[in-house]
Amino acid sequence: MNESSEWTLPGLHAPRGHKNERADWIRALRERDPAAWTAVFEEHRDFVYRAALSQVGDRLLAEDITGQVFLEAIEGIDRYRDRGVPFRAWLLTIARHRSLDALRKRRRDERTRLVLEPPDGRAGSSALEGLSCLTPEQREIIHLRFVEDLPIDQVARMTGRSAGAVKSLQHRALGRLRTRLGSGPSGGSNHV
Amino acid sequence: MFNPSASSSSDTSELEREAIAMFGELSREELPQVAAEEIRESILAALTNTRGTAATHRGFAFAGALAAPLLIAGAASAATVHSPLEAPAAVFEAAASVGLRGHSADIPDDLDLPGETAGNAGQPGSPPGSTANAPAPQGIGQADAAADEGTGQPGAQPLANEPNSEPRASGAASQPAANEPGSGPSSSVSVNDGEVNLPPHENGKGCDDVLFAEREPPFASPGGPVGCEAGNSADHRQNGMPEDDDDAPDPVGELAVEPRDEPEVEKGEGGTSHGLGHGHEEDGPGNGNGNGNGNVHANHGHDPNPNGHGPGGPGDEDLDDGGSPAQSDGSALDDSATASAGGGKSAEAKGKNKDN
Repeated sequence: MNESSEWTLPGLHAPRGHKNERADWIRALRERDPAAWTAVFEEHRDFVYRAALSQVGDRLLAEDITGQVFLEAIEGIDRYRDRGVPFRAWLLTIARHRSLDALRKRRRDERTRLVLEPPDGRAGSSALEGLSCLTPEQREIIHLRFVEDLPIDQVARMTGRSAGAVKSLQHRALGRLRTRLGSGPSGGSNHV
Repeated sequence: MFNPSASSSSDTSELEREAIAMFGELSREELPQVAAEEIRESILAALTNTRGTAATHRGFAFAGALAAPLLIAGAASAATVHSPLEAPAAVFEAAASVGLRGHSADIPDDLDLPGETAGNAGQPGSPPGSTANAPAPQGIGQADAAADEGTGQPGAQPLANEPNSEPRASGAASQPAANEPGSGPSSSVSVNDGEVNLPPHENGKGCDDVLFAEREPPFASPGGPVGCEAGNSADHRQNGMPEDDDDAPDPVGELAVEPRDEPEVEKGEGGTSHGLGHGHEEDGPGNGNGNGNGNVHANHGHDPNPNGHGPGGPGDEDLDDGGSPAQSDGSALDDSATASAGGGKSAEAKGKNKDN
Protein backbone atom coordinates (compact mmCIF):
# COMPACT_ATOMS: atom_id res chain seq x y z
CA MET A 1 0.00 0.00 0.00
CA ASN A 2 1.49 3.26 -0.99
CA GLU A 3 1.90 6.24 1.25
CA SER A 4 -0.96 8.24 -0.12
CA SER A 5 -3.47 5.49 0.30
CA GLU A 6 -2.22 4.80 3.80
CA TRP A 7 -3.05 8.30 4.77
CA THR A 8 -6.61 7.68 3.86
CA LEU A 9 -6.94 4.88 6.38
CA PRO A 10 -8.86 5.85 9.43
CA GLY A 11 -6.61 6.66 12.31
CA LEU A 12 -3.41 6.48 10.32
CA HIS A 13 -3.42 10.12 9.45
CA ALA A 14 -2.75 12.78 11.96
CA PRO A 15 -5.87 13.90 13.76
CA ARG A 16 -8.02 16.51 12.15
CA GLY A 17 -6.63 19.96 12.47
CA HIS A 18 -3.13 18.73 13.03
CA LYS A 19 -0.98 19.86 10.15
CA ASN A 20 2.21 18.11 11.04
CA GLU A 21 3.43 15.04 9.36
CA ARG A 22 2.86 11.74 11.04
CA ALA A 23 6.34 11.57 12.53
CA ASP A 24 6.04 15.04 13.95
CA TRP A 25 2.65 14.22 15.26
CA ILE A 26 3.90 11.10 17.03
CA ARG A 27 6.79 13.11 18.41
CA ALA A 28 4.33 15.60 19.79
CA LEU A 29 2.45 12.77 21.41
CA ARG A 30 5.62 11.47 22.97
CA GLU A 31 6.35 14.92 24.29
CA ARG A 32 2.93 14.85 25.88
CA ASP A 33 1.75 17.82 23.96
CA PRO A 34 -1.72 18.58 25.31
CA ALA A 35 -2.92 19.84 21.97
CA ALA A 36 -1.86 16.68 20.21
CA TRP A 37 -3.44 14.45 22.80
CA THR A 38 -6.62 16.46 22.86
CA ALA A 39 -6.82 16.06 19.10
CA VAL A 40 -6.27 12.33 19.45
CA PHE A 41 -8.99 12.09 22.02
CA GLU A 42 -11.47 14.02 19.95
CA GLU A 43 -10.63 11.94 16.92
CA HIS A 44 -10.86 8.51 18.46
CA ARG A 45 -13.00 8.81 21.54
CA ASP A 46 -16.20 7.49 19.98
CA PHE A 47 -14.36 4.71 18.23
CA VAL A 48 -12.76 3.60 21.48
CA TYR A 49 -16.03 3.94 23.31
CA ARG A 50 -17.87 1.77 20.80
CA ALA A 51 -15.09 -0.78 20.86
CA ALA A 52 -15.36 -1.01 24.61
CA LEU A 53 -19.13 -1.05 24.47
CA SER A 54 -19.08 -3.88 21.98
CA GLN A 55 -16.94 -5.87 24.31
CA VAL A 56 -18.56 -5.25 27.66
CA GLY A 57 -22.12 -4.36 26.64
CA ASP A 58 -22.29 -1.82 29.42
CA ARG A 59 -22.28 1.87 28.61
CA LEU A 60 -21.09 3.07 31.96
CA LEU A 61 -18.35 0.51 32.00
CA ALA A 62 -17.45 1.44 28.43
CA GLU A 63 -17.08 5.06 29.48
CA ASP A 64 -14.69 4.07 32.22
CA ILE A 65 -12.74 1.90 29.85
CA THR A 66 -12.51 4.73 27.34
CA GLY A 67 -10.87 6.94 29.89
CA GLN A 68 -8.50 4.16 30.89
CA VAL A 69 -7.51 3.61 27.29
CA PHE A 70 -6.40 7.18 26.73
CA LEU A 71 -4.62 7.43 30.03
CA GLU A 72 -2.80 4.22 29.30
CA ALA A 73 -1.95 5.48 25.85
CA ILE A 74 -0.41 8.60 27.35
CA GLU A 75 1.60 6.52 29.72
CA GLY A 76 2.74 4.07 27.10
CA ILE A 77 3.25 6.27 24.08
CA ASP A 78 7.01 5.92 24.45
CA ARG A 79 6.64 2.24 23.75
CA TYR A 80 4.54 2.84 20.66
CA ARG A 81 6.29 1.85 17.48
CA ASP A 82 5.05 3.27 14.25
CA ARG A 83 4.85 0.30 11.95
CA GLY A 84 2.47 1.87 9.54
CA VAL A 85 -0.70 0.53 11.05
CA PRO A 86 -3.41 2.93 12.03
CA PHE A 87 -2.87 4.61 15.33
CA ARG A 88 -6.35 3.69 16.40
CA ALA A 89 -5.36 0.05 16.07
CA TRP A 90 -3.07 0.61 19.01
CA LEU A 91 -5.90 2.22 20.90
CA LEU A 92 -8.12 -0.68 19.92
CA THR A 93 -5.64 -3.13 21.39
CA ILE A 94 -5.58 -1.22 24.64
CA ALA A 95 -9.35 -1.08 24.66
CA ARG A 96 -9.61 -4.82 24.11
CA HIS A 97 -7.28 -5.56 26.99
CA ARG A 98 -9.03 -3.21 29.34
CA SER A 99 -12.42 -4.54 28.31
CA LEU A 100 -11.40 -8.09 29.01
CA ASP A 101 -10.05 -7.03 32.36
CA ALA A 102 -13.36 -5.36 33.10
CA LEU A 103 -15.31 -8.43 32.04
CA ARG A 104 -13.24 -10.64 34.26
CA LYS A 105 -13.74 -8.30 37.16
CA ARG A 106 -17.45 -8.14 36.52
CA ARG A 107 -17.72 -11.89 36.43
CA ARG A 108 -15.97 -12.09 39.75
CA ASP A 109 -18.35 -9.54 41.20
CA GLU A 110 -21.37 -11.31 39.82
CA ARG A 111 -20.24 -14.57 41.27
CA THR A 112 -19.74 -12.89 44.57
CA ARG A 113 -23.02 -11.02 44.68
CA LEU A 114 -25.08 -13.50 42.65
CA VAL A 115 -26.50 -10.61 40.71
CA LEU A 116 -27.64 -11.58 37.26
CA GLU A 117 -29.44 -8.45 36.29
CA PRO A 118 -28.38 -6.64 33.18
CA PRO A 119 -25.19 -4.72 33.79
CA ASP A 120 -26.63 -1.57 32.36
CA GLY A 121 -30.00 -0.12 33.01
CA ARG A 122 -30.30 0.93 29.43
CA ALA A 123 -29.16 -2.40 28.13
CA GLY A 124 -31.50 -4.60 26.29
CA SER A 125 -30.25 -3.55 22.93
CA SER A 126 -30.49 -6.54 20.69
CA ALA A 127 -27.12 -5.68 19.24
CA LEU A 128 -25.43 -5.71 22.60
CA GLU A 129 -27.24 -8.86 23.59
CA GLY A 130 -26.14 -10.47 20.39
CA LEU A 131 -22.56 -9.44 20.93
CA SER A 132 -22.58 -10.84 24.42
CA CYS A 133 -22.70 -14.38 23.10
CA LEU A 134 -19.58 -13.96 21.01
CA THR A 135 -15.96 -14.35 21.89
CA PRO A 136 -13.87 -11.21 22.35
CA GLU A 137 -12.21 -11.72 18.99
CA GLN A 138 -15.53 -12.16 17.27
CA ARG A 139 -16.93 -9.12 18.99
CA GLU A 140 -14.01 -7.09 17.82
CA ILE A 141 -14.48 -8.22 14.25
CA ILE A 142 -18.19 -7.55 14.37
CA HIS A 143 -17.56 -4.13 15.81
CA LEU A 144 -15.08 -3.15 13.14
CA ARG A 145 -17.00 -4.70 10.28
CA PHE A 146 -20.56 -3.78 11.07
CA VAL A 147 -20.37 -0.96 13.59
CA GLU A 148 -17.46 0.93 12.14
CA ASP A 149 -18.31 -0.36 8.67
CA LEU A 150 -14.72 -1.06 7.71
CA PRO A 151 -13.83 -3.34 4.81
CA ILE A 152 -12.16 -6.66 5.38
CA ASP A 153 -8.66 -5.53 4.49
CA GLN A 154 -8.70 -2.61 6.89
CA VAL A 155 -10.06 -4.79 9.67
CA ALA A 156 -7.27 -7.20 8.94
CA ARG A 157 -4.69 -4.44 9.23
CA MET A 158 -6.11 -3.08 12.41
CA THR A 159 -6.32 -6.43 14.11
CA GLY A 160 -3.09 -7.80 12.77
CA ARG A 161 -4.81 -10.71 11.12
CA SER A 162 -5.02 -11.91 7.59
CA ALA A 163 -8.08 -11.17 5.52
CA GLY A 164 -8.92 -14.86 5.56
CA ALA A 165 -8.77 -14.97 9.31
CA VAL A 166 -11.05 -11.98 9.52
CA LYS A 167 -13.54 -13.58 7.19
CA SER A 168 -13.42 -16.78 9.17
CA LEU A 169 -14.00 -14.98 12.44
CA GLN A 170 -16.83 -13.03 10.93
CA HIS A 171 -18.41 -16.16 9.53
CA ARG A 172 -18.28 -17.96 12.86
CA ALA A 173 -19.62 -14.90 14.64
CA LEU A 174 -22.60 -14.63 12.35
CA GLY A 175 -23.24 -18.33 12.67
CA ARG A 176 -23.24 -18.12 16.42
CA LEU A 177 -25.57 -15.17 16.29
CA ARG A 178 -27.91 -17.15 14.12
CA THR A 179 -27.86 -19.97 16.60
CA ARG A 180 -28.25 -17.90 19.72
CA LEU A 181 -30.75 -15.49 18.29
CA GLY A 182 -32.66 -18.16 16.46
CA SER A 183 -35.99 -16.81 17.57
CA GLY A 184 -35.17 -13.35 16.37
CA PRO A 185 -33.89 -10.30 18.13
CA SER A 186 -36.40 -10.64 20.90
CA GLY A 187 -35.26 -14.13 21.63
CA GLY A 188 -31.75 -13.15 22.62
CA SER A 189 -32.33 -13.15 26.32
CA ASN A 190 -29.56 -15.46 27.36
CA HIS A 191 -27.12 -12.84 28.42
CA VAL A 192 -23.74 -14.23 29.32
CA MET B 1 -33.16 -5.76 11.86
CA PHE B 2 -30.75 -8.63 11.70
CA ASN B 3 -32.42 -11.95 12.00
CA PRO B 4 -29.91 -14.73 11.60
CA SER B 5 -32.53 -17.42 11.72
CA ALA B 6 -34.16 -15.96 8.70
CA SER B 7 -30.96 -16.26 6.74
CA SER B 8 -31.08 -19.92 6.06
CA SER B 9 -29.14 -19.68 2.86
CA SER B 10 -25.38 -19.51 2.76
CA ASP B 11 -25.51 -16.14 1.18
CA THR B 12 -22.89 -14.31 3.20
CA SER B 13 -23.69 -10.97 1.73
CA GLU B 14 -27.24 -11.29 2.91
CA LEU B 15 -26.02 -12.10 6.39
CA GLU B 16 -23.71 -9.17 6.32
CA ARG B 17 -26.45 -6.81 5.26
CA GLU B 18 -28.60 -7.93 8.07
CA ALA B 19 -25.68 -7.69 10.47
CA ILE B 20 -25.08 -4.14 9.35
CA ALA B 21 -28.70 -3.37 9.93
CA MET B 22 -28.60 -4.99 13.35
CA PHE B 23 -25.43 -3.42 14.57
CA GLY B 24 -26.01 -0.13 12.88
CA GLU B 25 -27.56 1.17 16.04
CA LEU B 26 -24.25 0.72 17.76
CA SER B 27 -22.57 2.87 15.18
CA ARG B 28 -24.64 5.77 16.42
CA GLU B 29 -23.38 5.31 19.94
CA GLU B 30 -21.19 8.15 21.09
CA LEU B 31 -19.33 8.86 24.22
CA PRO B 32 -21.59 11.05 26.34
CA GLN B 33 -20.44 14.62 26.67
CA VAL B 34 -20.26 14.44 30.43
CA ALA B 35 -18.00 11.45 30.28
CA ALA B 36 -15.97 13.07 27.53
CA GLU B 37 -15.39 16.14 29.67
CA GLU B 38 -14.25 14.05 32.58
CA ILE B 39 -11.91 12.05 30.43
CA ARG B 40 -10.53 15.19 28.81
CA GLU B 41 -9.75 16.68 32.19
CA SER B 42 -8.11 13.51 33.38
CA ILE B 43 -6.03 13.43 30.21
CA LEU B 44 -4.82 16.96 30.73
CA ALA B 45 -4.01 16.20 34.34
CA ALA B 46 -2.10 13.11 33.32
CA LEU B 47 -0.22 15.08 30.69
CA THR B 48 0.79 17.67 33.25
CA ASN B 49 2.10 15.04 35.61
CA THR B 50 3.83 13.09 32.90
CA ARG B 51 5.53 16.12 31.43
CA GLY B 52 6.83 17.10 34.83
CA THR B 53 8.17 13.64 35.37
CA ALA B 54 9.77 13.60 31.95
CA ALA B 55 11.49 16.91 32.63
CA THR B 56 12.79 15.55 35.89
CA HIS B 57 14.09 12.48 34.14
CA ARG B 58 15.85 14.63 31.59
CA GLY B 59 17.45 16.58 34.40
CA PHE B 60 18.66 13.41 36.03
CA ALA B 61 20.02 12.19 32.75
CA PHE B 62 21.96 15.40 32.27
CA ALA B 63 23.33 15.24 35.78
CA GLY B 64 24.19 11.62 35.26
CA ALA B 65 26.11 12.43 32.13
CA LEU B 66 28.13 14.93 34.06
CA ALA B 67 28.69 12.69 37.01
CA ALA B 68 29.53 9.52 35.13
CA PRO B 69 33.18 10.38 34.49
CA LEU B 70 33.57 11.38 38.08
CA LEU B 71 32.08 8.13 39.25
CA ILE B 72 34.46 6.28 37.01
CA ALA B 73 37.30 8.17 38.55
CA GLY B 74 36.03 7.09 41.93
CA ALA B 75 36.07 3.50 40.80
CA ALA B 76 39.62 4.01 39.64
CA SER B 77 40.68 5.26 43.00
CA ALA B 78 39.19 2.20 44.59
CA ALA B 79 40.88 -0.07 42.13
CA THR B 80 44.25 1.42 42.91
CA VAL B 81 44.12 -0.02 46.37
CA HIS B 82 45.24 -3.34 45.05
CA SER B 83 46.50 -2.68 41.59
CA PRO B 84 47.79 0.84 41.61
CA LEU B 85 49.59 0.65 38.35
CA GLU B 86 47.03 -1.12 36.31
CA ALA B 87 43.39 -0.51 36.74
CA PRO B 88 43.23 3.28 36.89
CA ALA B 89 44.56 3.86 33.45
CA ALA B 90 41.84 1.82 31.87
CA VAL B 91 39.19 3.55 33.85
CA PHE B 92 40.69 6.96 33.33
CA GLU B 93 40.79 6.34 29.64
CA ALA B 94 37.19 5.33 29.81
CA ALA B 95 36.34 8.45 31.72
CA ALA B 96 38.23 10.54 29.25
CA SER B 97 36.35 9.11 26.35
CA VAL B 98 33.10 9.80 28.15
CA GLY B 99 33.65 13.45 28.28
CA LEU B 100 36.55 14.62 30.33
CA ARG B 101 39.44 16.02 28.51
CA GLY B 102 42.50 13.92 28.39
CA HIS B 103 41.67 11.50 25.67
CA SER B 104 44.47 12.79 23.61
CA ALA B 105 43.33 11.29 20.39
CA ASP B 106 40.11 13.23 20.52
CA ILE B 107 41.32 16.60 21.63
CA PRO B 108 42.19 19.10 18.96
CA ASP B 109 45.46 20.84 19.23
CA ASP B 110 43.93 24.25 19.47
CA LEU B 111 41.78 23.35 22.42
CA ASP B 112 42.07 26.06 25.02
CA LEU B 113 42.86 24.41 28.26
CA PRO B 114 42.92 26.28 31.53
CA GLY B 115 45.97 26.33 33.66
CA GLU B 116 44.67 23.61 35.85
CA THR B 117 45.56 20.50 34.03
CA ALA B 118 44.33 17.06 34.42
CA GLY B 119 47.50 15.99 35.98
CA ASN B 120 47.64 18.47 38.76
CA ALA B 121 43.96 18.58 39.37
CA GLY B 122 43.59 14.93 39.87
CA GLN B 123 41.30 14.69 36.91
CA PRO B 124 41.41 11.58 34.87
CA GLY B 125 42.95 12.11 31.54
CA SER B 126 45.70 14.29 30.36
CA PRO B 127 45.92 17.44 28.33
CA PRO B 128 47.04 17.49 24.76
CA GLY B 129 50.67 16.73 24.42
CA SER B 130 50.72 14.55 27.44
CA THR B 131 49.18 11.67 25.74
CA ALA B 132 48.30 8.32 26.96
CA ASN B 133 50.35 6.94 24.16
CA ALA B 134 53.56 8.40 25.42
CA PRO B 135 56.18 5.75 25.03
CA ALA B 136 57.68 6.04 28.44
CA PRO B 137 57.02 7.77 31.69
CA GLN B 138 58.74 10.99 32.31
CA GLY B 139 61.47 10.55 34.78
CA ILE B 140 63.82 12.55 36.81
CA GLY B 141 65.27 15.38 34.91
CA GLN B 142 62.41 15.59 32.56
CA ALA B 143 60.05 17.29 34.90
CA ASP B 144 61.29 20.68 33.88
CA ALA B 145 59.82 20.37 30.51
CA ALA B 146 56.71 18.97 31.95
CA ALA B 147 56.41 21.81 34.38
CA ASP B 148 56.88 24.30 31.63
CA GLU B 149 54.07 22.73 29.75
CA GLY B 150 51.90 22.67 32.75
CA THR B 151 51.51 18.98 32.36
CA GLY B 152 53.90 17.80 34.92
CA GLN B 153 53.00 16.59 38.27
CA PRO B 154 52.83 19.68 40.37
CA GLY B 155 54.53 18.16 43.27
CA ALA B 156 52.28 20.00 45.64
CA GLN B 157 52.85 18.18 48.83
CA PRO B 158 49.75 17.59 50.81
CA LEU B 159 49.94 16.78 54.42
CA ALA B 160 48.91 13.27 55.07
CA ASN B 161 47.36 14.24 58.35
CA GLU B 162 45.38 17.07 56.92
CA PRO B 163 42.10 15.58 55.90
CA ASN B 164 40.66 18.81 54.68
CA SER B 165 43.49 19.69 52.43
CA GLU B 166 42.46 20.89 49.03
CA PRO B 167 42.41 17.90 46.75
CA ARG B 168 43.10 19.99 43.71
CA ALA B 169 46.34 21.77 43.37
CA SER B 170 46.28 24.95 41.43
CA GLY B 171 48.95 23.98 39.01
CA ALA B 172 52.66 24.33 38.86
CA ALA B 173 52.52 27.59 40.76
CA SER B 174 51.29 25.74 43.78
CA GLN B 175 54.48 23.83 44.13
CA PRO B 176 56.23 24.60 47.32
CA ALA B 177 59.57 26.25 47.06
CA ALA B 178 61.23 23.27 48.61
CA ASN B 179 60.57 21.31 45.51
CA GLU B 180 63.34 21.79 43.09
CA PRO B 181 62.17 22.15 39.54
CA GLY B 182 63.23 19.24 37.58
CA SER B 183 63.44 16.97 40.49
CA GLY B 184 60.14 15.40 39.78
CA PRO B 185 57.52 14.62 42.25
CA SER B 186 59.57 12.23 44.25
CA SER B 187 63.09 12.87 43.18
CA SER B 188 63.89 15.18 46.05
CA VAL B 189 63.31 12.58 48.70
CA SER B 190 65.06 9.46 49.56
CA VAL B 191 63.86 6.15 48.32
CA ASN B 192 64.51 4.66 51.63
CA ASP B 193 61.75 2.36 52.68
CA GLY B 194 62.05 3.48 56.22
CA GLU B 195 61.04 7.02 55.57
CA VAL B 196 57.38 6.43 55.81
CA ASN B 197 56.96 9.31 58.17
CA LEU B 198 57.61 11.81 55.46
CA PRO B 199 54.67 13.43 53.81
CA PRO B 200 53.29 11.77 50.76
CA HIS B 201 55.37 12.19 47.66
CA GLU B 202 58.38 12.94 49.73
CA ASN B 203 58.98 9.46 50.91
CA GLY B 204 59.79 8.09 47.52
CA LYS B 205 56.87 5.78 47.66
CA GLY B 206 54.11 8.10 46.80
CA CYS B 207 51.15 8.73 48.95
CA ASP B 208 49.78 5.24 48.93
CA ASP B 209 52.16 4.07 51.57
CA VAL B 210 51.05 6.87 53.84
CA LEU B 211 47.44 7.35 53.04
CA PHE B 212 46.71 3.70 52.68
CA ALA B 213 48.88 2.60 55.53
CA GLU B 214 46.06 1.72 57.81
CA ARG B 215 42.97 1.74 55.73
CA GLU B 216 41.51 3.23 52.66
CA PRO B 217 41.31 6.96 53.11
CA PRO B 218 38.28 8.93 52.07
CA PHE B 219 38.32 10.14 48.56
CA ALA B 220 37.77 13.67 47.51
CA SER B 221 35.89 13.42 44.30
CA PRO B 222 37.04 13.98 41.63
CA GLY B 223 40.54 14.22 42.95
CA GLY B 224 42.49 11.71 44.82
CA PRO B 225 42.33 10.61 48.39
CA VAL B 226 41.81 13.24 50.98
CA GLY B 227 45.18 14.44 51.95
CA CYS B 228 46.65 14.08 48.52
CA GLU B 229 46.62 17.24 46.51
CA ALA B 230 48.23 15.71 43.51
CA GLY B 231 45.16 13.94 42.45
CA ASN B 232 44.19 10.37 42.10
CA SER B 233 46.49 8.37 39.96
CA ALA B 234 48.22 5.13 40.51
CA ASP B 235 51.28 6.55 38.88
CA HIS B 236 51.74 9.52 41.09
CA ARG B 237 50.43 7.86 44.18
CA GLN B 238 53.19 5.36 43.95
CA ASN B 239 55.50 7.79 42.30
CA GLY B 240 56.57 5.13 39.91
CA MET B 241 58.61 3.45 42.51
CA PRO B 242 57.65 -0.16 42.67
CA GLU B 243 59.67 -2.10 45.14
CA ASP B 244 61.14 -4.39 42.60
CA ASP B 245 62.14 -1.62 40.27
CA ASP B 246 63.72 1.23 42.11
CA ASP B 247 65.16 2.64 38.95
CA ALA B 248 61.86 3.11 37.34
CA PRO B 249 61.39 6.70 36.35
CA ASP B 250 58.71 8.71 38.00
CA PRO B 251 55.66 9.31 35.98
CA VAL B 252 54.65 12.87 35.55
CA GLY B 253 51.16 13.05 34.19
CA GLU B 254 48.53 10.74 35.36
CA LEU B 255 48.17 9.28 31.97
CA ALA B 256 51.64 9.99 30.80
CA VAL B 257 52.32 6.31 30.84
CA GLU B 258 50.57 3.91 28.64
CA PRO B 259 49.91 1.12 31.05
CA ARG B 260 50.41 -1.46 28.41
CA ASP B 261 53.99 -0.35 28.08
CA GLU B 262 54.77 -1.17 31.63
CA PRO B 263 56.01 -4.65 32.18
CA GLU B 264 54.18 -5.02 35.42
CA VAL B 265 50.94 -4.43 33.73
CA GLU B 266 51.38 -7.35 31.48
CA LYS B 267 51.32 -9.87 34.20
CA GLY B 268 48.06 -8.48 35.41
CA GLU B 269 46.21 -8.19 32.16
CA GLY B 270 43.18 -10.28 32.06
CA GLY B 271 42.90 -9.98 28.33
CA THR B 272 39.23 -9.28 28.55
CA SER B 273 37.12 -6.47 29.71
CA HIS B 274 34.94 -8.18 32.18
CA GLY B 275 34.14 -5.09 34.07
CA LEU B 276 32.36 -3.35 31.28
CA GLY B 277 29.57 -5.80 31.38
CA HIS B 278 29.51 -6.52 27.70
CA GLY B 279 31.83 -9.40 27.39
CA HIS B 280 34.58 -9.50 24.90
CA GLU B 281 32.77 -8.99 21.71
CA GLU B 282 32.00 -5.36 22.25
CA ASP B 283 35.41 -4.47 23.49
CA GLY B 284 38.61 -4.02 21.77
CA PRO B 285 41.61 -6.07 22.60
CA GLY B 286 43.02 -5.43 25.94
CA ASN B 287 41.58 -5.90 29.26
CA GLY B 288 39.07 -4.46 31.53
CA ASN B 289 39.21 -2.57 34.70
CA GLY B 290 38.70 -5.48 36.93
CA ASN B 291 35.18 -4.77 37.92
CA GLY B 292 34.29 -8.21 36.84
CA ASN B 293 31.26 -9.73 35.31
CA GLY B 294 31.22 -13.40 35.81
CA ASN B 295 27.96 -13.80 34.03
CA VAL B 296 29.49 -12.85 30.75
CA HIS B 297 31.73 -15.82 30.73
CA ALA B 298 29.16 -18.02 32.23
CA ASN B 299 26.75 -17.13 29.51
CA HIS B 300 28.66 -17.50 26.35
CA GLY B 301 31.23 -19.85 27.61
CA HIS B 302 34.32 -18.88 25.73
CA ASP B 303 37.85 -18.86 26.85
CA PRO B 304 37.99 -15.90 29.16
CA ASN B 305 41.70 -15.46 28.78
CA PRO B 306 42.51 -15.72 25.12
CA ASN B 307 45.74 -13.84 25.44
CA GLY B 308 47.10 -16.00 28.13
CA HIS B 309 47.00 -13.39 30.81
CA GLY B 310 45.12 -14.73 33.67
CA PRO B 311 42.25 -12.75 35.00
CA GLY B 312 42.29 -11.29 38.38
CA GLY B 313 40.06 -12.61 40.98
CA PRO B 314 39.64 -13.31 44.61
CA GLY B 315 42.91 -13.27 46.30
CA ASP B 316 44.56 -12.36 43.06
CA GLU B 317 44.64 -8.66 43.38
CA ASP B 318 48.11 -8.35 42.03
CA LEU B 319 46.92 -9.84 38.82
CA ASP B 320 43.89 -7.72 38.63
CA ASP B 321 42.94 -6.56 35.21
CA GLY B 322 44.01 -3.20 34.20
CA GLY B 323 45.74 -1.12 31.74
CA SER B 324 43.36 -1.51 28.93
CA PRO B 325 43.15 1.16 26.33
CA ALA B 326 40.23 3.45 26.33
CA GLN B 327 37.01 1.79 25.45
CA SER B 328 35.29 3.35 22.57
CA ASP B 329 31.95 1.83 23.33
CA GLY B 330 29.88 4.47 24.96
CA SER B 331 27.41 2.04 26.34
CA ALA B 332 30.15 0.09 27.93
CA LEU B 333 31.33 3.19 29.62
CA ASP B 334 27.91 3.92 30.87
CA ASP B 335 27.77 0.52 32.34
CA SER B 336 31.06 1.07 34.00
CA ALA B 337 29.76 4.24 35.47
CA THR B 338 26.74 2.44 36.71
CA ALA B 339 28.83 -0.30 38.13
CA SER B 340 30.92 2.16 40.02
CA ALA B 341 28.05 4.30 41.14
CA GLY B 342 27.84 2.45 44.36
CA GLY B 343 31.27 3.54 45.36
CA GLY B 344 34.75 2.33 44.98
CA LYS B 345 34.22 -0.72 47.03
CA SER B 346 31.61 -2.03 44.70
CA ALA B 347 34.03 -2.01 41.83
CA GLU B 348 36.44 -4.02 43.81
CA ALA B 349 33.77 -6.42 44.88
CA LYS B 350 32.61 -6.96 41.36
CA GLY B 351 36.12 -7.78 40.36
CA LYS B 352 35.80 -10.85 42.44
CA ASN B 353 33.29 -12.31 40.10
CA LYS B 354 35.68 -12.98 37.36
CA ASP B 355 36.50 -16.43 38.46
CA ASN B 356 32.97 -17.52 37.96
